[in-house]
Amino acid sequence: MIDHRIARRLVASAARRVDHHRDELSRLDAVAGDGDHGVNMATALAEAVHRCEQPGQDTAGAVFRTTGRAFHETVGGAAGALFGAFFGALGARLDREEEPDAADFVEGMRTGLARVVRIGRSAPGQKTMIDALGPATASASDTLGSGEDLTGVMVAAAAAARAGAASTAAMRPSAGRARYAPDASLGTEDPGACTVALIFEAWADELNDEVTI
Amino acid sequence: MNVRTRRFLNRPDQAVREMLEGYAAAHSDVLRLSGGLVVRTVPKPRGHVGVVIGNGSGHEPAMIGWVGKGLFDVNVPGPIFSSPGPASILEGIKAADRGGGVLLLVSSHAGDIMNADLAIADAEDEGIDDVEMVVLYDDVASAPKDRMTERRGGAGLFFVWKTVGAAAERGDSLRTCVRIARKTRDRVRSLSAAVGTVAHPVSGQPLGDPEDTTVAVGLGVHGEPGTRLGEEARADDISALMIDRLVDDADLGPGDRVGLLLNNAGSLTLMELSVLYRGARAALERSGIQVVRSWVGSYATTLDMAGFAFAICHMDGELLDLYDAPARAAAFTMPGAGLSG
Repeated sequence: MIDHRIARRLVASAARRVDHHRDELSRLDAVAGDGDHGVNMATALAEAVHRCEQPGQDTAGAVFRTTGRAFHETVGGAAGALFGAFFGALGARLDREEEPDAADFVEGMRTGLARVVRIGRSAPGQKTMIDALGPATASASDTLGSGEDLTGVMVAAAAAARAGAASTAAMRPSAGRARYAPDASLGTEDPGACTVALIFEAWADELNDEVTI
Repeated sequence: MNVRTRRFLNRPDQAVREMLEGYAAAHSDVLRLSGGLVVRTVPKPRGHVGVVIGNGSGHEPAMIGWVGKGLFDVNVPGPIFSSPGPASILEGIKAADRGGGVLLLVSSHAGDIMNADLAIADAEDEGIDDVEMVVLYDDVASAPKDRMTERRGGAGLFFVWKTVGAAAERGDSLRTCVRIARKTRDRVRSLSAAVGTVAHPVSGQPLGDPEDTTVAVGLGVHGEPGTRLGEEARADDISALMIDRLVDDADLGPGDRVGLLLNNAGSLTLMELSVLYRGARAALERSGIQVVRSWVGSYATTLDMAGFAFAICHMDGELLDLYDAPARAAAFTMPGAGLSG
């Protein structure tokens, strides 16, 4: 079962990983954006960690919903809206079960992906976070189907997210602010997709450390 | 080229909050802070439409300086260059509600639209249903004319803020305010130009290539790149090139009347602005277009960017009346407004 303790560790590991890569993410964003993506994501995740330590965060769903709200209330911007929507949807899905398991988590990823696509009015191939989150979700789903636990699912999701993020370097943006300078970011990975990869890599490493679900 | 990274700030991550506190203290006659919102000191009468906008910070005096009589009821300032999140926008909608409906204006940028959408959905969930949202755009460099709705918002939207603010102030219905917002938007065009770039105050990252010293035309309000001009381009050439493109895009011809806005993106001198304005007037006169109102100054900045934007608004009687209506905010006054709010 995925309880609030595991969820908190996942959020905390994502916060540490993104903070560690903060400047690199901001540099990627400065190529065709305003150069603050790393700062914003690290700020929102740090706020999420803080909020999730407060009383009342006693289910995995609550922890991820709180994380979503931290994005919506602290950083704003397109990335704040989209990452907040993803975590909010993941949390709401987990909260539908008394004892959520890996299958519920993957279902939550799917719901979250669908919400990001709808709110962002974008599709795969437009050089956005969807190009990492889409493959991660598909891979998580496949791996779950072959009988892996949450750790195995996250390892597969992380590899797919990283490959997806790498694939964005060759893409021209057709969504978001970067689309106004489609050539400027050619050869550079999308910062939102990189953040997705960092989060799933942090989750895979955290779960690999000791947790078995 | 040197990008200034040393700023007169305390902690960069607290700069927005400290700016708001200082600005509110300096302009307590027209605005005050309410939580993270900028609101009017004297609210407009009950039953009138409330007008609210959220936007990233770093564009001051947009929009904190446009909260006041005949303009915005509420501004929701976000982090630097980022839209505020849905929770703050929802608070802004509630604060602007005077019982006559609320008009949420959105300058078209991906994050602003997404967060406004989320806020409207949250408002509906709370039973607030007399909220209309109008997405505004004017920047001709951001998408071709046949894909107008993909264009982003720029400095020309100040014509929209002025006309729709006046309509709401005089008691027009929400439906009329929406019509005025769309009508003004459809008659406004803008285009910007800059040399070099600026550094983000929090990350310290330059927006774009700090070594590039050419003039770029058509860049965005967050430093999104534009088209490079040659070293030989002079002010008159640049003004003419930009004005001709705006006139062409708006299908203007001899006899048409326009408002002309020259917006300082941050650090241009009045000398440069005046020379550019002179060139723009000459270019419009060559096309037989009459300039009936003019604005020159810092309206929407990109920190201390060495750049500017031209915007034109195709005027008619209705828009001129609304343009001339009294207004009073910290960064903008249209004479005729009383000083008591």
